[in-house]
Amino acid sequence: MPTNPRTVRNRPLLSKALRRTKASSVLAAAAAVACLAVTACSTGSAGGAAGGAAAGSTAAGAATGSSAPAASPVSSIVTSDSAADANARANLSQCGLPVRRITDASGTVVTVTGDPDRVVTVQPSFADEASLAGVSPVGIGDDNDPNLIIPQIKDRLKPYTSIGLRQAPNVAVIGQLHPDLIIADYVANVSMLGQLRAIAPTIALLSDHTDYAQNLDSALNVGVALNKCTQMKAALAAHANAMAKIKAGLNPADHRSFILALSNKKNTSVFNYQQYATTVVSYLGLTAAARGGQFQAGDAKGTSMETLVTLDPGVIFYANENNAPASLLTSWEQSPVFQAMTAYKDHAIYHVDQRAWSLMRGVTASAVIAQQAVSLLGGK
Amino acid sequence: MAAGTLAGRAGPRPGPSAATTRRTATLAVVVLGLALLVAGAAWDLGIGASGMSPGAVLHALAGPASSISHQIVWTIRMPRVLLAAITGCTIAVSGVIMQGTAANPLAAPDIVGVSAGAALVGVAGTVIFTGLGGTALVLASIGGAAAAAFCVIGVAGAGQGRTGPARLALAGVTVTAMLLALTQAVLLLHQTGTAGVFFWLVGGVNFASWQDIHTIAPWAAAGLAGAMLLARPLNILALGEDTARGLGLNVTRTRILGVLCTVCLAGSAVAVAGPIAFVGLIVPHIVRLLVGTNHLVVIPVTGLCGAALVTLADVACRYVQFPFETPTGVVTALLGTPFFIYLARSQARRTR
Repeated sequence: MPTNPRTVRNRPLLSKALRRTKASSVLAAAAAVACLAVTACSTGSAGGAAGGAAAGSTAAGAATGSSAPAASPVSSIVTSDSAADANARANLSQCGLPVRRITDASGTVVTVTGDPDRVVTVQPSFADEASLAGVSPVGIGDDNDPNLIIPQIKDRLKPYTSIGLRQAPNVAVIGQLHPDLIIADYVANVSMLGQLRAIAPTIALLSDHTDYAQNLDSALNVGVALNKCTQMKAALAAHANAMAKIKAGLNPADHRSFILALSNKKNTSVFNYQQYATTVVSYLGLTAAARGGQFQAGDAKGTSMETLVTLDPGVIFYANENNAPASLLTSWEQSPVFQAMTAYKDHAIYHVDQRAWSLMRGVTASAVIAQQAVSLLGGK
Repeated sequence: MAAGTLAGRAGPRPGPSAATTRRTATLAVVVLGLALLVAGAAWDLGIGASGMSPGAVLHALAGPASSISHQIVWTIRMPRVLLAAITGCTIAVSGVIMQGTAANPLAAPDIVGVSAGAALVGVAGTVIFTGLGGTALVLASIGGAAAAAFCVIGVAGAGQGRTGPARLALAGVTVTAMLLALTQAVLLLHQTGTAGVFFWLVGGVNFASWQDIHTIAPWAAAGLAGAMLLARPLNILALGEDTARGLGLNVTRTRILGVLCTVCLAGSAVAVAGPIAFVGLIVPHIVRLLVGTNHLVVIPVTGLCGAALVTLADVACRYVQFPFETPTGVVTALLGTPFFIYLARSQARRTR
């Protein structure tokens, strides 16, 4: 079972409902009116889910697996009693077996035989983890954009076929690749797992809408599925060491509050403390300001300048959608209200790459984020 | 009120006492609308994460420009309140003009594809053409709105003057569905930059700035002035196309000007605030139920009521997940629909 069934299960439905409802509200209004024309009484309906998916969960156990020491650097960011951790650990018992029965994030027990070498991964984060274990996927979901995958991961991959959108990968293309294992995203692909399972054994793992620890759990599961437990444990141990080194580059007394914002021309949203890049930066010792109250649950929240100023974080990391040069947030920098903020006065507002900080996730992206954060924060 | 009685659709022609009653009703609606608008604006101005008391807000309004509270009230809250009022006014008036021009009670920017056309351009301008901004985006949105409007008119065969209400609505639904599909395709194919766009697609004034006011002001002013100039022609057009022609009205020119006026009002509002649904369709009906059908009265009163509705909706949306933002468009229908149903039912009871 996933870390927190309420969380993970609700998310795809809610996020899809959110997207569909908004887009369809106008249509619904129009349709309603067309029907009511008969009674010569017109009315309208406007929808739009106020929405907000359920809370992210702080997952999951010593992600470096059984080989990691109890006080591993990675485990310092995670909490105990997590179902996902138990799940990943239970799957570890299948390590090295010729026929492995893997319980995936949907709770389905998937049987994987032998050493899969024609692997399709819907998320680049799973491709990253597969390649860390020595298997370069033949097909990857990259939203039809070869530049989506950050170079730190892409340089390690062999040439692959794009399977299209991560939310809706092209099933025909996947079929033509004749995969022997598909690694799908439980949140993004929940509605098409049946279709994928008709092609090849498919494990649904956590990447979209997850935190750092859940990504590390997914990496372990990838290792088990590929029958590369030893390699994966070694890679995760190396990752834990690398993260510890990166963290050591930061002043240990730096516990400033921070937020991660995403902005475009029309909107600014703030990620809460449980979301992926936020949990990576929290691991470095900074304090996520976006917690408590309305931040306790839900996705990134639309945040006005006044609310941002009231949060008054010590550090702001922000990405512009599409890595655009300007956004609503950058336009705020001209405002005296914005300039009264601690982060502005301390010159601690940092533009970061949307791909690495928001779209990628996974083991390598975590290290990239941590390294960039430490460089931006100026080290010791 | 002569034109109003002439344009009346059903029932006996009101006598002098009925005209007096109507005048009283109109006055009451104007006073109530103004009161709601002022109350909503004051309330909206008083809400914010920084938690100023009403006294502090008043003090900040008049206080020294250097104080942060003054800056918060003047540069964050004030443009939001103004934009709510302006977009409410322009979208509602665009609905009146469209209903009058098409002689069709179902015409409204969100029904006949005008909002969807402007929204598609707005989404493309945000997701694909990230460099497009300000005036260019407004011009593009108005272009999108116009293209959608003429597309719907073409599909419905409005030029042949036999467009029934259902026919126009169906054409509008068809074109709107196509535009929504295109919008969704743009969003789906550019997933890296769409989180904030979903918010905008519901419509809202949550992130308003003075820049938005500057952007929309000339279009709103021109559109509203054009609407008032169209009031008399629309009153004549309401008598029926043949009668209007007989009275010397250039029907085709009036219709073209009406569509241009609608497109200008709704397109600029969508470019700045997103496609806020419901206001353009229902507010004109509410107002006509209350004050009659004379466009010289209906247009300004609709503008006032639209402004009051969106301002109040903006107040309500602040409480959904305070202090975070919920799009204003989510609540406009929630506020307006019950009132409309109440009015329609009471009207039906009276005529029975």
